[in-house]
Amino acid sequence: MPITSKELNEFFATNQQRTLNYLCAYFPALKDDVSDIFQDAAVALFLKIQKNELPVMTGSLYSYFLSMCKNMALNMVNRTPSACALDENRNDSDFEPIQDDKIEELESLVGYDIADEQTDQAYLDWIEQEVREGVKNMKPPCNHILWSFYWDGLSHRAIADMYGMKSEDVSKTQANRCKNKFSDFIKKVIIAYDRR
Amino acid sequence: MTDDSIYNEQIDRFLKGKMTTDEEIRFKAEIARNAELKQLVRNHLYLIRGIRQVKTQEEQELLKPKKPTLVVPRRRNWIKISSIAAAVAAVVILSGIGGSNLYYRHEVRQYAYNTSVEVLSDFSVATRGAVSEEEMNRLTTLFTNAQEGKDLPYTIEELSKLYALTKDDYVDAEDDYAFQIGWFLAVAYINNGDYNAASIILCDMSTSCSENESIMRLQKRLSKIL
Repeated sequence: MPITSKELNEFFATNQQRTLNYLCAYFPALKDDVSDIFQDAAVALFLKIQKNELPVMTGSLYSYFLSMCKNMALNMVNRTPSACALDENRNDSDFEPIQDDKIEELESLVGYDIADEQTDQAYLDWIEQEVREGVKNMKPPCNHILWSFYWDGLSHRAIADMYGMKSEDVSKTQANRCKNKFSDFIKKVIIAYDRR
Repeated sequence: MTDDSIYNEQIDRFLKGKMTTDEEIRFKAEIARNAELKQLVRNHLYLIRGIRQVKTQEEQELLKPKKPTLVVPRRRNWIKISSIAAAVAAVVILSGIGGSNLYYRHEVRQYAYNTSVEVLSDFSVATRGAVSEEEMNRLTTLFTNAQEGKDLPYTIEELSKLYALTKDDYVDAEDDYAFQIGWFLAVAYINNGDYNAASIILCDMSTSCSENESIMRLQKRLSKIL
């Protein structure tokens, strides 16, 4: 059974601008066509969902959709080789997903207990619940950058293109600030738990 | 670069599998002996886990099977799609636009609005001093209303009269800004939901304003709705 289009339209509307920005940066010769590419990819994704033909996701839905856009743009470039093709300074490393086995390695190294004596499940549940709320309430640019980096598995270069930053260093610097804020948030959560 | 930002970068490189084996060994040893880094790694793991939980839930919600409730407008007749999947599929195939119609309408309106900013700006520059201030204000008001979807019945009526004048060989007063009149009449129709009328105006304009890129692009977007 298909999903409602209202929700997909929201998904497309939310992700439209950053996708267009990214495609313009990645395929400068296609800047007049990126809207059409986006639309075609949107329809293709819609139909895939309708027909239940989505593959098993290894990343986020957005990273899958972005790959569709990129493939369509590449096809267009290949059809029109004179269109000066890609930005030659780019490579194809914009997708850099977080690897599950690396997460597990780190988990086994540090554990999830903030203070070593506090290992009870209620404590971990509390932290997780607060973190989920913290993630939901994240404001721009932190939500844009951290979600894109850790969920969509995008590089800082791609994120910079998507959100109109001057360079990937700006995205990195901003990400560091956001992580520092998040660390402060975690400290407060722990204090709040201790005071309960 | 502060220690934290160096550590942050190292953690990310590790998580994305971009470290060499030697680097990984050194990094893990550093985590084992450095409490500050250990804490930072924990915070990363909390963050990633939190993001994954929230976003997974969002995507599951997005992809969860539901009965379609889409209302698809076709040539101003609102057709409520039944809950029968076959009917949805038929609309998808026949219209070629399916449930993304809402998206396309949004796209058309957005393109019309954005391009109107440029058209209005060009109009202000081109007609400065060429028409009376009163006429200039009247046209600017009509154009702005068309762009922003205000007072549409009156705006469409007035722009239609002006557009008719641009077609009259004996009246050339409006000819200098015939393009703007036609453009904003089409935009007013779009904002009023009358995509057919907008398309007719644009087709008519494309003979008189041949090869105009904005018209062609708007027409192309409209064709996905009609």
